[in-house]
Amino acid sequence: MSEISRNVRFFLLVFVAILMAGCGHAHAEEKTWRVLYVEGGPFSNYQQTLAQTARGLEELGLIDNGQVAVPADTESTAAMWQWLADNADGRIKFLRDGHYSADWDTSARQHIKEAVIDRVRNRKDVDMIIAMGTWSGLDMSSEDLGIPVFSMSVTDAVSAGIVKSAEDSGKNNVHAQLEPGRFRRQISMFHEIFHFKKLGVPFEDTPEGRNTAAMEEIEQTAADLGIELVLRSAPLDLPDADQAFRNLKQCVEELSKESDAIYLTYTSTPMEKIPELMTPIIEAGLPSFAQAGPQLVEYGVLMSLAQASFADIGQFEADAMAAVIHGKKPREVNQIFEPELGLAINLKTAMRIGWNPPLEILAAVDEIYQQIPAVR
Amino acid sequence: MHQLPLRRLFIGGILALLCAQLLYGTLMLSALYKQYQEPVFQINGLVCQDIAEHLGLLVRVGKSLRPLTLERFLSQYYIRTEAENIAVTDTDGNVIYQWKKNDERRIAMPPDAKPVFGQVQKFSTDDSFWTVCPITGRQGLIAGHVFMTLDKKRISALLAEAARGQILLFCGVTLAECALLALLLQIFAFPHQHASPKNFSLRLRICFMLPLIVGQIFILCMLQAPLSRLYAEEMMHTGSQLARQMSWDLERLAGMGLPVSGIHGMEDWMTARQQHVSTLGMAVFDVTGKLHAAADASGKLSEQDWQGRCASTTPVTLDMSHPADGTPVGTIKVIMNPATAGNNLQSVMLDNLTMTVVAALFLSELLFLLLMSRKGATAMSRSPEFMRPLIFACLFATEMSMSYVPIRIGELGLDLFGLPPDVVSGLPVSCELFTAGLAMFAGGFWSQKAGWRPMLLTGLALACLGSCASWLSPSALPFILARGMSGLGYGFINLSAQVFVIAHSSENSRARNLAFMFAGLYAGTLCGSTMGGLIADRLGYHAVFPASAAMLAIAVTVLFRLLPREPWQNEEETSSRLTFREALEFFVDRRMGTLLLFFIIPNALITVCLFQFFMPLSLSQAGTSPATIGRVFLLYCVIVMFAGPAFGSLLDKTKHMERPLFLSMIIVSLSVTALLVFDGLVAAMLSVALLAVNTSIAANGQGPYALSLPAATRFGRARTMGFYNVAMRIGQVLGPLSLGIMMSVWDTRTGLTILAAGTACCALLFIAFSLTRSSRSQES
Repeated sequence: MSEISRNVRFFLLVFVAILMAGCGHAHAEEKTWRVLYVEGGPFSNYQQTLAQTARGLEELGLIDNGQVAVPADTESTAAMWQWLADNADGRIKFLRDGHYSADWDTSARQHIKEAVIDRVRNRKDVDMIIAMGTWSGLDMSSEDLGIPVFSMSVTDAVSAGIVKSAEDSGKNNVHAQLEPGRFRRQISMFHEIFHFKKLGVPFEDTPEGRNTAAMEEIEQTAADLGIELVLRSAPLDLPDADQAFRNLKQCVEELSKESDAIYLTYTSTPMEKIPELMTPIIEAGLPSFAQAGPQLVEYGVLMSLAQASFADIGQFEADAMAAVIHGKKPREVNQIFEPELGLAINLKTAMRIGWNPPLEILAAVDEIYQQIPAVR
Repeated sequence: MHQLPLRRLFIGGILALLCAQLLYGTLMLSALYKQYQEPVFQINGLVCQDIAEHLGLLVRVGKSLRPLTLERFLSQYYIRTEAENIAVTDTDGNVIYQWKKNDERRIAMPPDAKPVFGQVQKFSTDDSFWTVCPITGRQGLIAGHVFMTLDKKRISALLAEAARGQILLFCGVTLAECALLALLLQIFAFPHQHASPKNFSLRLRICFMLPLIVGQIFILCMLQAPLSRLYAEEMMHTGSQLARQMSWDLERLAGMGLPVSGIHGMEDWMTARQQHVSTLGMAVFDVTGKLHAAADASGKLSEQDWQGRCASTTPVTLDMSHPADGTPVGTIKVIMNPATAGNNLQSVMLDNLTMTVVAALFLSELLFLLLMSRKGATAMSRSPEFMRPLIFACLFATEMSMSYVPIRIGELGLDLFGLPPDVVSGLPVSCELFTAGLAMFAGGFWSQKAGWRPMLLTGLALACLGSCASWLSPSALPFILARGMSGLGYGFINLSAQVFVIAHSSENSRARNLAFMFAGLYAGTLCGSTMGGLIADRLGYHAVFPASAAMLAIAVTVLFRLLPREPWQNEEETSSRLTFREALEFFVDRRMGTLLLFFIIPNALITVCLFQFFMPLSLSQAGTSPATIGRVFLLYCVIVMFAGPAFGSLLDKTKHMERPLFLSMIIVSLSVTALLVFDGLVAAMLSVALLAVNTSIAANGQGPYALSLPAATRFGRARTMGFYNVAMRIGQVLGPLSLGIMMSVWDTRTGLTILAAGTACCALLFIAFSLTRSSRSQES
């Protein structure tokens, strides 16, 4: 009898062990990833990237609802995040208290960095971080947090020091989206059409400013094409947005007198102020190119060649997140992003600077704008 | 007894006429097939070019050729073209995207692709017709290729439907020709059968040639109307296609809110697209009907210019509409050049006339064979004229594949021992020429001992094996060696024909008989290369090598069995072994040395230099069509064929052969001078005509003259023939080299002037040394 009971106990133990292993496995299969969001400050590109990433996640079945609207009257992503936290259920949970924005304040940036690190290491209620922009990307990748960090919407993550190279992030938990040669293509195309000798570039001459504007790539391309760069630097990332705009405008006014063409780098200037920024350039009859993309062309910049839509970016980021959720390390996921490029031209600006775009150029155009909004 | 030969003559004549008519018919139908095919390739070429230019524009503005980009771009062509498949490849030929998802990961253009217009080329495979256009990226670099395919069966069915009418016409005309032949024979030939053989022969020839030529001219006349219609329709389609392609861009821009009146720089766009299409102009009108932009292939057109051109020709009109709601947005008009249809028709007529000449030559050779057969096999085999149909058949078979040797080596790969590709490309032909010369040299000794028969059969066998090996060669080196074998065969065949003629001719008839034989050689060359082109067009150029091998195999088999074995007696006192002393005595003999050094070598050098290299190159560079260049070659051959025997008879009567030979060198000098004095096609035709006269004299006179020299008697007739043929080969090989050196050191005019002067000097030296010796011998 005792022998029988021993055997029964043994088999029961084995059964329970198997059951527990199965449960554990099932639990791992169904793990919900708690996601946290960090950004340097409000920016329309961040809104678009977040929105399209959410749509991409919905396409992949990782969340139930990714149709978050982009607010029209602000560049903040706070409301969008709240909406996602409330509505986007599924394998990914957007933490309600997981939205961190430094509002472009450097001291706030430091506090946020420390808070997030503390939360990840001590509270341990975060499984994944979306780091939007250069500031956040740098902050979240500099510490080995042990959880996946997706650096998004960074001009050049390699130059910024977020990742080691386009082929290898250098850190097991970090993934960044890179588009090597993007700005080379832009400047090459701009030069091929207008054959300018001097290209005016306004930027902020700080490490972050240079990274944001991808100055290294711009300088290399100019050297290769034999273009003289006329650089003007001023503090552009300031808490006082008006002061930042005045600084930028001052740069543009000076460059308009000394250059043959203007390459407008990434700027946090609100869209409605772009027409005012463009006034000296247009009055000088200079062609202008927007590094950021077609949205600036709508507001008066002559042309831009950039990703046709944020949908491609969003899908790329969603695919990367899905790959990690399904077992890959962030370092193993492809970082090189090749978007569908769209060429945009503002014909009103063209007319005002006295340039008639030939049919050959127009045949390749994807967006045409025929107006410049009034200066506010 | 006379009725049997006449009946045989009549039946044989009908068969010969049918053979010639079949050759003509096949050539004509092949040409018509191409004519009907051209519009298909033209339209598809325009679409292919349009796609390539748009993709090139995308590349130049910085977008890359990604599968997704291509998928989106090419999806709009589903309704714009009838192509079965469109594929875009990168610079290495790897497929980036294509409509048809199949296993093909790489597509490469074969070396025998032919131009359609501009950079657009075409080729065909088993199942499809392909059109291909390169994509031009930044700084003119090729970024990839666009390939379009059409289903061959569908197109062939359409073309067969169109050609059915012509086939019925052809059959009817052929029957009428046979009937006319019978009538002419009854009325003009048979009643005069007892007249002199020459008179009867001439009447027979006229009776046979007349139905062929009349029938073919009749076919030409009947083709005029349907072809005119075809060209008019083709022009309309081309104009519509041009207009459509422009409308795609303008309607897209209209959809983006940009009206026609807001777009500038259309003139450059229109000018670029009219470069390879025969138009008088294109114009775009805005929605109000006002002319917005007009241009032709040269540049912008004013409104007045446009109105003027519209007054003479009605333009093709296409209305444009907004892609969203269909509202009118403007109009495009294209004026096609009405002269193009006339030019195309003229070109077709000339091509048909060329085919008529080739068919007539073919019939002429068959007639020679037929007329000779009346004598009986034994008598025939002893007549010097017997070699003409034989050499015709042999050259017919060997020349079929000659044009495709460069293409074949290109396909096999030009990587050989690290040599430059241009050098490797020329090696098969050089090897063939070299071994031909070698064969002629060795053949001189061989034939002295064994006669012409074994050499002829061996030559045929070697040529056959060479063609087989050329077909089966897997890489460049075996192919080059195969061509060498073919060259050996050709050398033996050529020399054996000359040995036969000389052996069966008296001293008074050598030149004429050689001329007669050479006429058959040229006829075989012409007909063979034409047949080769026909086979290549229908079956692909790979088929010409086995076809050539098959014909040679049949020839060697038939001749081996039927060629009578005649005992060969070496009438000469010389032994078959050549000593150094003998050879030295031969070469240092003044008259022989003069002949070789100042006549044979320079004459051959300049003939090859001008005729086979300089003229085709300069005519091609001047934009002359390959068909016209072929006609220049035809003129040369026809003059040699008909003037050769006439000059040959005159040469046989002359006592001082060096004088007509001197005259022929002066004619060569004049031929070069013609290129300096005149320009273009006129210069080429005059120069070629003079060269042909030179060949008629030189080719038929140098041999008998050499054989008449005392050195030839001492050295041996067969060896002498071998040596002077080798000298000719040396001149032929030096020809292209000399041309290359001249072009690199001097400009064209200087080079030609030096050539003309050099020829004249050689002529003077030749006559000076030759006459000096002969006049001294006369005085003594």
